[in-house]
Amino acid sequence: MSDPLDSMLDLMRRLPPTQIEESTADDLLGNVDQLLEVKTDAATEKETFMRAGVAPRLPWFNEYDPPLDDGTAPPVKLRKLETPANEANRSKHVDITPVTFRYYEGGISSVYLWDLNDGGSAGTVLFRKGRLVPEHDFSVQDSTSYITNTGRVIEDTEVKMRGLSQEAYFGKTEDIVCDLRSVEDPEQTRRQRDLQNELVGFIKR
Amino acid sequence: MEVSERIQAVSKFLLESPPGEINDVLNDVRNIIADDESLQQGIAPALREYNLVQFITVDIPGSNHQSIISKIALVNKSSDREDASERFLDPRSNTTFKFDHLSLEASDPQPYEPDAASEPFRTALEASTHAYLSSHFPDGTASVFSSPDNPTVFIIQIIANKYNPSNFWSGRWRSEYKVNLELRLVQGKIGVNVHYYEQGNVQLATNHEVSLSLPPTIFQSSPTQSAAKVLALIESEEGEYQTSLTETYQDMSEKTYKTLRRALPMTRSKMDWDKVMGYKLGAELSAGKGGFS
Repeated sequence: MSDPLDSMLDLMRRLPPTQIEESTADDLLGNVDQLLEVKTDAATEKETFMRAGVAPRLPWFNEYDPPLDDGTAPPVKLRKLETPANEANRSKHVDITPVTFRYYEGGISSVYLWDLNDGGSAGTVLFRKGRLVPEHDFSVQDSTSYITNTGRVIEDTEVKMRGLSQEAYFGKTEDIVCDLRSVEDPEQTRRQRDLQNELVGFIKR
Repeated sequence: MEVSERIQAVSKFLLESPPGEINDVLNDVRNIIADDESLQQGIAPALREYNLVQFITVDIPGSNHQSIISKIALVNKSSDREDASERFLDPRSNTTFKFDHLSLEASDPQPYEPDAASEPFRTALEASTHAYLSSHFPDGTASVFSSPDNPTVFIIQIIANKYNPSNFWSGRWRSEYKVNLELRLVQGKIGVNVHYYEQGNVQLATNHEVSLSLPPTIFQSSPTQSAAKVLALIESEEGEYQTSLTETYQDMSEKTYKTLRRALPMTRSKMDWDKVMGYKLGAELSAGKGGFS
């Protein structure tokens, strides 16, 4: 029997997206990355964007809210990288240009970093505007020029993702509706075309 | 979580399954709950409800065609609970049968005596509906019922499915029309469901209500021509609806999506990432913080 977590993840791909948050089965799905929700860090009044339902570690303040005794915190070196990354992504100055403001004209973002078992580090950058939630995972081998490099990677992925999403959301769905039912009647179209050909043939003679 | 609460949650999931995916949802749920016996019993009502609402089709024993399972198709409507003796009607072959909501199979076919007064018009409507189906639905099924209480009322049900799991999509078109010759009215609804799940979970669920008046040229004593006219009205309405869906998509694609995210920043070029770090330092300096950590 396969891992129940796989089954939960599969369910996430099939159930209506807007219903998943309101599901009464929060316990059943508690381990799964759900639609992330916005939580305000009371201490710093900064909003951050995180996994719903799980005691969140607020990256602005490196504390758990609510406090967890055995909560893991990233090693100090990663924490040093995390803070500027979160700053770069959000700024109170509207005329300064972090990715969030430039591309999303507002919206909220967070960066989380953690160690991988193989010695490298990994991070995830999350953006939210309305219902669109792109998420990027990447690994970081070296800490120099970290933000500029990953910034470029994210920007390129974002542009690609936007194109993909637009195609997916609207183009493909519309195609499927037209697969179910054709507005034209192919038989009628064929008869009309035959009639046209006949008339043209008649005129040519 | 209590067993009954889990059954309730799981039943909700089953009812919300996208077209053609109820088995996948059921397998997921079996794996998560891991108590197959209580699950099997507990979800039986949800499976039945799903089939009735989604117009699940069934092969009719002794015939070459399929019929629609729905509340209207129930004979002796004890429609709230499943009854072991519950039977469905296929009006096209005048057969009633038992139906297994898990295996989706029909059994114990019995002949059915249609109502003599309504049968001529019902048959004409059925023929016109099938002609309509073959013109517009590459893979459609229809059932046309007369009303047991009223020989001037008929119900047309249409279902068209397309499942493509290897390309991560599925779709379903359902329409139902109640034709009332006495009130000279056609009332109905069209429901379209689409699921696209390649690297994501995109779903469309629409419901469109229809209310059309029947022109005076339609009457019961002229079944063939009148039935054709009724279907012509339906054809026109469904065509308009589908066209408006397409137009809405194109509209949404252009306008709404742009407000979610620009193609490029306002400067019309990609970001200069080296400058970004500079901005942050600039902010710190101007705020009088100084200090580099």
